[in-house]
Amino acid sequence: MGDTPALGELFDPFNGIWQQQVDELSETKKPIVGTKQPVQILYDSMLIPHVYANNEQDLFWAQGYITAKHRLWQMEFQTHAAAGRISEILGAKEGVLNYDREKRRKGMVFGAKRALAKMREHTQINDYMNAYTAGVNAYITSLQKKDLPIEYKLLGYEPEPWTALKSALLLMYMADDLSGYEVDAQNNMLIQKLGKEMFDFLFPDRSPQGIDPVIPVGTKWDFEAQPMPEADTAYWRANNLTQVEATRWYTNQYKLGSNNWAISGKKSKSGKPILANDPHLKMSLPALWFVMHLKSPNINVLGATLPGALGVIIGFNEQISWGVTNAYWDVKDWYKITFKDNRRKEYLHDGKWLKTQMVLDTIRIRGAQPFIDTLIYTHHGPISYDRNFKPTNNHYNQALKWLAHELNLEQLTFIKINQANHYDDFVGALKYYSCPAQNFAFASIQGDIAFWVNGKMPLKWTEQGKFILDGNNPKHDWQGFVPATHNPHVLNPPREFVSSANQHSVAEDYPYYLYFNKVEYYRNRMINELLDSNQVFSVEDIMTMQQNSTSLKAREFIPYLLTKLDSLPPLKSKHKKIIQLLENWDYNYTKDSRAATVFDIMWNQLYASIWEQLRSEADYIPSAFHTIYLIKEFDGLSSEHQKMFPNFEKMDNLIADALQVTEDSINKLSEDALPWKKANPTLVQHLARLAPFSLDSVQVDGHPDCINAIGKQHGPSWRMVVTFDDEQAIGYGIYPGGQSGNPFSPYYSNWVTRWANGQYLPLRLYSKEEIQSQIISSATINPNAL
Amino acid sequence: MKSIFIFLVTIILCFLFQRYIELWWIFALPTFIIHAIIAKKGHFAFLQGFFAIFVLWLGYAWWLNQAGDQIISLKMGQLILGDLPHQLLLLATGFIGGLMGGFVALCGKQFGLIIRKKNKKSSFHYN
Repeated sequence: MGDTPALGELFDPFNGIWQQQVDELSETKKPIVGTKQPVQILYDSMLIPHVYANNEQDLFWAQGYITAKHRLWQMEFQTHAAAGRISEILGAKEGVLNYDREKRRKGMVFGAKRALAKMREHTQINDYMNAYTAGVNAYITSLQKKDLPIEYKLLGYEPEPWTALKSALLLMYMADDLSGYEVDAQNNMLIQKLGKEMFDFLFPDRSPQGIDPVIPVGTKWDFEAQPMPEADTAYWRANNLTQVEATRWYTNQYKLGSNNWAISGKKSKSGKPILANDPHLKMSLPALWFVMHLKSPNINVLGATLPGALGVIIGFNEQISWGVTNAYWDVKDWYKITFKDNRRKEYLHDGKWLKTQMVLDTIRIRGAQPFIDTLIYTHHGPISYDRNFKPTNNHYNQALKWLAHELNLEQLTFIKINQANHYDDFVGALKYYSCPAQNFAFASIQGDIAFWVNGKMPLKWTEQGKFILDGNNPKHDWQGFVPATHNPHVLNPPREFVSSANQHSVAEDYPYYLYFNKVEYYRNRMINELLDSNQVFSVEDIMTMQQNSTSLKAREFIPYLLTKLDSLPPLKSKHKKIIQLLENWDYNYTKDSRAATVFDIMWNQLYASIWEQLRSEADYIPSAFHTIYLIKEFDGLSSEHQKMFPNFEKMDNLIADALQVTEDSINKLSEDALPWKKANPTLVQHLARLAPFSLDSVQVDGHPDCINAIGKQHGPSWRMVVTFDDEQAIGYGIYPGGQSGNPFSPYYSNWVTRWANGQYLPLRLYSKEEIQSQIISSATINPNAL
Repeated sequence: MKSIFIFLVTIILCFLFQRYIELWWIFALPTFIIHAIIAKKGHFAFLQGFFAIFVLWLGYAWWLNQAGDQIISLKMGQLILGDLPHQLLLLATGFIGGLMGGFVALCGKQFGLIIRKKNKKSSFHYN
């Protein structure tokens, strides 16, 4: 077997690609057995499975089975990716091997195994995990070769049995996606180069323009804070990082974000709270999310599930609804390690030589000899970068301390939230949660709205972990954790709403040190501006708000630019067309806006040229928000600061250049290629990047700066709005994909157009009787034959 | 007439074998045996095997593809053939199966001839 599967096997009409048109609506011919009591699965007209079980274990068995039925290849591929096992599928390719090694060296499998051990100790979760695993495996063993998802046939491999470890790996996959980004090496390199004063000026922890944190300013903390540990100042001086290290250890820039908010009954037309959530993750096919309704004696929940994880991750039950966004807490730190000698058996800590643990890690490679890597563990964590992997001249040995290695019972949190009846249940569920820290928005039928920025928070001294730490210095070790009840939270705030969009969690009066790897400045203020009005919202208003495509960045910069151009008449007359478009723009990134395209080209050009030097040296530059502040405040800055940026002195020239570049680019485009939808189509790509299984030009409103944060490949991967009537929650939701993972199925991408048009699907906690008129397909799982 | 009969028998047997045994090459077994049994000089084993499997694979693939409104040939064609007409994928399927069928039939015939020659020789020996 080489790179391509054997042609005969692939084209064989009895087992190969021609068998792919599986009818998802047909009932399974062979009876499904394996549960303790019968379980019924009824699909509504959108292919959303409603699962009715008589006990929780059967419920999770069925969740495993049904998820595998529609998403088997995806759930296995994602966990293979998390475990660094892609070489097993794709064979000997250097890039793939490096990908696998990096995953293993940052402790993805190490973390997953530890998380699994924790879950095994908890009887209930252990039982549920085993049931889920058995369900997935019952589906896998029922498959004949011809039934395998197309990706297996094309890549020429077969599914292996599911394990609870794979579910743990999926949690690691999400933890990596949401807390795997950090900028410690860049920070260290830049502060060495620029000095602390200048570094803080360019990269302030909090903008001098003020912030609008998740937990509203003025919220009283209802706890007695623990003392902060003693700080070590200017420890970054001990490192001597070069550009090579800073860029080589750089984790790719996050393109993710998310919004969530909830309004109280006082702000809603119906008098009941409304909750909204849209996580902006990578939009892929098969979609990241799979919608399910799970019902058993103690659970009745509906919402977005993650194939591979138990329960609903974002959704609602009869009494409550919840949604999450990423908190961007810095929970990933690097320690520089000093080995005693070349054998690397011992390393220095607190003046003593501690023993390392050395593990030979075998990476199987399809069609080639396995690759054996040496993994070295310290008490901080695994050594990711050393002489064997991405080595540098300075011979740095970088040990990783990452909260994702200490996952807790995140799975229990979600299952308990799935069953929560009120605020206290919800809060009770959160304490089992460790990583990745999330902004949990909450609304209940009782009329409560609440917000918890929740995750395990390392107790750090100021700036601990913002730069590369010293693995020898015991002061640099994490000094324990902040008690879970001290996590930032608010219940029923006076402003009658809660919200988050990846901004700072808290104002400066929060008694613990938190460093944010990335903070968002535009979406959150837009959301708060819209909610902090006298408007009373209907569910439709909230849906409209999720599609709001107003850019605060444009609204805050264009008027300044136009005023500036008034003082530069030659420029103004030279670029009449551009200026006219910008003058008449309402700052909305709507599909047909030509001004949006023009502004985007112009801003990107200006932003890049302002930081040209910094970008070439560090590939890490101040945020757009801070940049605009510096542009506007330039005249008032000290000459020291002004001098540091020769580019700023030439600001007029930079603007002139940016306008010229914009003019040139739009002149190259034909008139009908100018609207935003044409200039910036969205790609919803198949996970294996196969073009015929991807949608390459979805036309939508939106931009990452807007509430409707649609970028090239990231965007609202799930949109949900939930409210309540007198009896229960009523939901609406949609994602850019479809319930089926089979690219040949009519249910593979059938929601994309509706999603692009801002439509939602009704989500109801139907009883078996209520759903009858809508059933398009059904299945029954029976107890093991006697 | 006889060659049409062999052609049909090959198709039917291969269909049954492939339908119930999950090995893509299992058609080789009946094709080989049939052509070994009827082997004689001057029969066009390759062409017979080729057309039998060509028709079987193309026909079955076509039928499955039609049932799914051609979505398989459309998407897989785009993946494998790029801009070429997607129906070529059906022809390619028939051709790949046919080619293998032809060679197997040829091997079967040669095998049959050798065996018979041997048997003849051995019968001479005993007489």
